Amino acid sequence: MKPHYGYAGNILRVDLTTSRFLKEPIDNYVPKFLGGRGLNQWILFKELRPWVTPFEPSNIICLGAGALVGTLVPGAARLNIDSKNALTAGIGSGNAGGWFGAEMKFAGYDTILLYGKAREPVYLWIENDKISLKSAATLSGKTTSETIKMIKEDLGEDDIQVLCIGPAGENIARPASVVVSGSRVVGRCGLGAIMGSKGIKAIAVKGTGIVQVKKPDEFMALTGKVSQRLRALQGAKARRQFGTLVGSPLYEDLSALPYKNYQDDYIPSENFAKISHEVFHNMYEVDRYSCIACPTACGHVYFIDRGPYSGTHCLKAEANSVWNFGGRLAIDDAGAILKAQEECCQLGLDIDNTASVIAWAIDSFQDGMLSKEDTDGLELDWGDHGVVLALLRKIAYREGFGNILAEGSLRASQIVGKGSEKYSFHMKGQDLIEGIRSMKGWALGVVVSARGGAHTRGALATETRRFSPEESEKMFGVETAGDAQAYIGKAEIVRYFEYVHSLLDSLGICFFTGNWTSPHGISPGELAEFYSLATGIEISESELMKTGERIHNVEKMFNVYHAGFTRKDDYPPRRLMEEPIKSGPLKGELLNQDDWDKMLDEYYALHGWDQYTSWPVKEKLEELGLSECIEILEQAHKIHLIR
Amino acid sequence: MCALEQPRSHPEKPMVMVRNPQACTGCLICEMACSFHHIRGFSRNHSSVKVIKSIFEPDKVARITISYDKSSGNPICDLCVNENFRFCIRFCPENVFKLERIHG
Repeated sequence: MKPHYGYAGNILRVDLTTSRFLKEPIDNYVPKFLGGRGLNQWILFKELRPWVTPFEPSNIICLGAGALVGTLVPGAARLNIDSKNALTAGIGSGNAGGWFGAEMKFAGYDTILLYGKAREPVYLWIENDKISLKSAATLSGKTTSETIKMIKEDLGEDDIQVLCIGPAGENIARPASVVVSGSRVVGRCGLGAIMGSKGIKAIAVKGTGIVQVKKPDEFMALTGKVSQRLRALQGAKARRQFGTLVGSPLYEDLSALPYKNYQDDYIPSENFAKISHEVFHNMYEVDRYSCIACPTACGHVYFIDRGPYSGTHCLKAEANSVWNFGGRLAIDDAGAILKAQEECCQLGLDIDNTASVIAWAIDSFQDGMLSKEDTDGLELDWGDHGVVLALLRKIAYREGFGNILAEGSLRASQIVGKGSEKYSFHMKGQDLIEGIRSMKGWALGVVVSARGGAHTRGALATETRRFSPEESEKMFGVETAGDAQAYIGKAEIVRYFEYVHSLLDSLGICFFTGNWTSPHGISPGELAEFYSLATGIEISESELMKTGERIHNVEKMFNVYHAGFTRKDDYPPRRLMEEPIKSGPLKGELLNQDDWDKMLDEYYALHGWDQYTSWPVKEKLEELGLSECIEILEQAHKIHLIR
Repeated sequence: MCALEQPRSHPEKPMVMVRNPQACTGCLICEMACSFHHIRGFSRNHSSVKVIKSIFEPDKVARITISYDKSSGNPICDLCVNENFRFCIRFCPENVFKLERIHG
């Protein structure tokens, strides 16, 4: 076998039904789809038929370590997991850092594909070439940290990496997450529930191999140079000290933190002061940690040493923890937020989707659509963390009222009815968590995102980070990147980040070391250099951006083919276009229908997609080298033959 | 080792030392950088540095060991002979390592 550079070189297919394993060289898929997310989504598009539902054995879970993971490129730690979305039936996609992706590559695998369904609960154990499925009978119902501990004991190995699901995933609760290395989480899209539906509790991996690079000395010189630059950035220093929590005030300053389920997009300042990053840092932080190969170390460990939850360690808290529990559910106690965060991590629940469905329940309860008879006697009110914690357990175990909440806010509102649908804020069926009324580019990126909401596709961070007009002009060719309220130019910037983030997810690099939040992060030109030096496959910046576009189009095609989403699915929830923000610096802002229409027109035109349906056109797919998809889409009547 | 084998012209032997393990964040950059020196590739197993940091035990300081003899089975630290710099010292983002002259 010829040596692989950059890549480990293998795709591992695991059939859980028959316990068979198949190793396949990665060469058929690269460099066209790069690796990580690009490769995962191409495999899903090619192999998954639209009539398969998310929890069927025929669904496929793809776990891909990015092409540069296992090297020292700063932030190259990301593992992308893709499958059919448990909430939208479109693409389900998410990624996490940690150490698992790199260990997979050291073991010799870039991608692991899980097919079928195990008869009994199992976990997958990979030790380089040795692969086995082991019984997970004793692991059933265990929390994520218990699972990791027990697997390590079972195998007699300490220095291994484990990803697993908690009770929520086992019980196929739709907001279930996959917990990687104990603390990094692939939260959204219900991927944990899909793992649960396949009867696989965990994957443990140990790799003692080598990731080779084609031009080692040049590669290392570039790595050193870029790493030095990144460490000096202001944003990196702030995340190093406070974690991503440090981002919350930036959103508060732009009225972009949903409060009490979008009743407002601004947390009252006296409440916000109690849950600022400084409070978490000064009162609770005990340790810091870093994903593999990351010089920033934004991971922080907290210990609650006071109040009702004293005695709890919390292995991470992100900006999202404050948005969800502090804003959406109005909990103004940092200790309680940490407790809720940790409970979600242990139960294997995604904080975003879970907090959102709880917010729906509280809003509906307050409006009289739910009563104590529906909620197992619980009185639901804003800021009541005791009730929130009780609901978390109910959701994870699908107990009583939790069984309805475990369906996500859209389905729960359809079950309950009585007009409670208006309290479900979702995009394409998956819960919306971002404050989007005040920042137009951020809003566009969140709303058009193929996986259903979430700010990890085209959503800009340039508005909160206030890029200067000069920086904006230089990077995007428009001046408005730092102007939150401007609609003009935002479609172009969203398109840019959609391509760049396709690349980062496929190469396995963290957004925070990329150029998402700072113009001085790793640029696409540097990505091309890193990739060329690592793999020996020469690729220019423009070719790489084309690859980003190709991957983005594959994701879009999956949605068209499987879920049939059209232009109407690219509009924000009605209420956010009608009810303005009530307070904060950008009080009065909302999303304007006419401006949104124009922004969407421009966005589709830039992508070369059809204006009415939003679907890719034949010429575009041919241009991107995706001709073989045209026939598949034509048979499904989901492509435009003439532009 | 027989005392006579010590190079007499170097009564002070330079060694890479772990200066402040409490600053270690477990990024494993040192392990991978060290393996780069030994094999011009990346691997946790071809490194003279070994880091064990558990996020589940935040009270415990990271255990960082550097191989100076064959007992661990890992490559022995040669202070990055023939390189322009010492990789672990150069690449560690937290300045955990430093070069010290040890009497002996």
